[in-house]
Amino acid sequence: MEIEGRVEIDWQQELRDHAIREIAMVSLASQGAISAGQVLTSLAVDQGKHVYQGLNVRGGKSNVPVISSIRIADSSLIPSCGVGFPTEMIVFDESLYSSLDQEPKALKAMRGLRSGYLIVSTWKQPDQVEFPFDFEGTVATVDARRISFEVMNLNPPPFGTTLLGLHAAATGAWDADTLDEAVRRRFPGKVGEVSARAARLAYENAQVKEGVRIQGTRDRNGFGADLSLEQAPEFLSLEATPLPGISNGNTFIWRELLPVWNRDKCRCATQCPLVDSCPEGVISYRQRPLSYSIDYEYCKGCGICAHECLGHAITMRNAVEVYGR
Amino acid sequence: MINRKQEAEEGHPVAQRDDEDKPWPRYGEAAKRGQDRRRDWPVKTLTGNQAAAYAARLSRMQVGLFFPIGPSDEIMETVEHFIRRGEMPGVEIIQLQTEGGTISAQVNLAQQGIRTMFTTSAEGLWWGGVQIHSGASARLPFMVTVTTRAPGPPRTVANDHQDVFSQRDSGCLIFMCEDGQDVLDTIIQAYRVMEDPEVSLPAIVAYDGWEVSHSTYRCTIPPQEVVDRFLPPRKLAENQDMLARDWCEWHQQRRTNLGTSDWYMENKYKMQLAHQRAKRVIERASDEYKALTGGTNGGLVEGYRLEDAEVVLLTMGAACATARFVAQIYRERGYRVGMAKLKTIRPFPEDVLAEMIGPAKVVITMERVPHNPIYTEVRAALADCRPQPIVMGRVVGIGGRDVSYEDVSRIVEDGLRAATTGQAERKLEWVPIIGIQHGVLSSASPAVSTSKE
Repeated sequence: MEIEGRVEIDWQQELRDHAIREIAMVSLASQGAISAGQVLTSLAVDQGKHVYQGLNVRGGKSNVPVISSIRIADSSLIPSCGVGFPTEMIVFDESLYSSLDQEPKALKAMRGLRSGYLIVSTWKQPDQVEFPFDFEGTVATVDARRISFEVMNLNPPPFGTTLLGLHAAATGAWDADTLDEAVRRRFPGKVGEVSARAARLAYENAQVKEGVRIQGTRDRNGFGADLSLEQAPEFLSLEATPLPGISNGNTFIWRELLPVWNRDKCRCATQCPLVDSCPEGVISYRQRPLSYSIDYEYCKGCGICAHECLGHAITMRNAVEVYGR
Repeated sequence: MINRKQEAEEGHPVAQRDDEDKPWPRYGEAAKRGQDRRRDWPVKTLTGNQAAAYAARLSRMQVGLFFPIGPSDEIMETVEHFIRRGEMPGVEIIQLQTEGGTISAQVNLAQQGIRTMFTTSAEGLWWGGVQIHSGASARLPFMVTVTTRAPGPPRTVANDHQDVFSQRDSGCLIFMCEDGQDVLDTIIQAYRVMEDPEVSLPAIVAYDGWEVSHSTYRCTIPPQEVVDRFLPPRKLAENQDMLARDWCEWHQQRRTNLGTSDWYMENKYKMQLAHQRAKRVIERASDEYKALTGGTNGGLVEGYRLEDAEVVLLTMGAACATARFVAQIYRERGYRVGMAKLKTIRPFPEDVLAEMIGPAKVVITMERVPHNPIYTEVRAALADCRPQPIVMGRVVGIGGRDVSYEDVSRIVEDGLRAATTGQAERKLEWVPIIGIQHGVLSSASPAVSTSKE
């Protein structure tokens, strides 16, 4: 077993030989990349594949790119490190390239993407897309951010699952109905409905072009310079269906219980400590005449009031029974 | 190796399990008959934390304890969802003022015979360290699930194994997990092991924060009745049921679970014996679990292509998957490279390691702790092997640094070179270090010169 110098290993070839597909997602935190990755991996598991989805967390920083590394393989022999040679890259915004020098994992993944699929959320045409390194392959674009913004009426919108619609249209790995079902499984209820609708719109409006050749540019300030929403053309005139609960600052979407006041047990003499302990400020109290009100529209059902009340005058009960939602 | 006969002769009788010789339905046999029971079991995509919550549910955990911190929150969050959906009836989640107070409560719950789980990370583990040590000395079986995290400064929440290794000598059993399925399997097995009357010690089940805890894996969930068969409800022995005892007579024992300090040394000696016995209990539990569920995770050390291996990578946690992949690639090129996954840190499986990786020419430990404890312990464990293998230590992935396949292949090549020449160039090194000239870390290396010119 002689070894002289280094053993030359073509990792890209090895990954291909072992039927391991690498996918990278470049996003900012809270844009929905992790959830999108979970939907994507669950779709792959449904097909009988083994999966790995890792992420990079940088503590205390919110404005650095997060890279989500996804691997899909036929066997359970899957490395668990950051991706080096992705065949598909999902980019949440072209302006993220500008800060790639802060993130070695993202830099490595971008350098490794030589061919395959580049899936970008932008209003631009596929052949107008920029990339820091040379690339030749299929480019797919759709303004996923704007679709999600209009469908969810949220700003900034989480649009990871919307981009999965574009990914499905570009790669053809699964059809829109399968994706729809997986999104609804991941997000039960209204969130799933809206996300699935946005994903379907992205699937239907995807612009896919094969054989696009991109000359790599490393100009740190150049990316996405002309990408503001004002300059974008009128894209889709969607009927806005605001998500009840997270638009307008209401926070009831995640609650399961609501506090109910019991007059007989209420026994504080002068003032109610719960008015100050409520993190949402929805409790108001008047001593004379005794009146108590909780704004169920904004209450998020945390239960701090029930915990803090000295006379146990607050009980937490099922939100749907108490208030209907 | 553990010798039961020898132990019995030393005056420490070992309890016999009456179902020991009962044959378990083997997964392989069922598959041969065309009855693949696992075929119908649900396959889910779960994060490591969610897998831990599923394991808690399957193990019929009675009380969950947590204090909000770092990557470990998601476990009790998921358990809370189970409780709300009515899938864990009668289960409570307790959160007290600090981690110390919460583990205190857990120690007392364990004394009442209640199955509990406490989840924490890094700083939380240190806050609760006092109670972990005292609970271990009191020989109470309770579980602490640690999603590992590096301490600051520089401020970080990223992953390495420093926190769990700080509890290495606390007296707990310490298990390390590689992926979601491993977390699920290990927690169920750990409950069985630590509640075994031969062991009766707390257990720490650790897995990499973020890198396992928030990564998504394919997990096969065994049905409840299969796990129930493997893991019976916890029962207190008569002499352990302190509440049933006379208060005046057993005052000391009731307070501490043990007698007076006159027998402190003997108690500690028994604790070490329990650690030794735990090795066999772990292997037996793992065999049973594998036979019941067809899983592959468990035991003390899991080997991958160790047959006639000349260079063996020994690692634990999330880095195992990468190491296994790299070992496979070198195998395909004709190099005899194997990989061993260390499942338990305490009890440290010296004898199993000597048997499994002792015949190799070069053993390379890859660990995510700066003071390289595994390197030291593996060197000690293999010291009596003849011919003695070269042991090399590589510190990787500190503070969330990526353990890439390129880095692991560089480590393997160092090992292959050492196997060819018969001596290691650098015994102890950190990989990768960027922008600093590599120093010499190992005093055993001849390159060190302490005299001044």
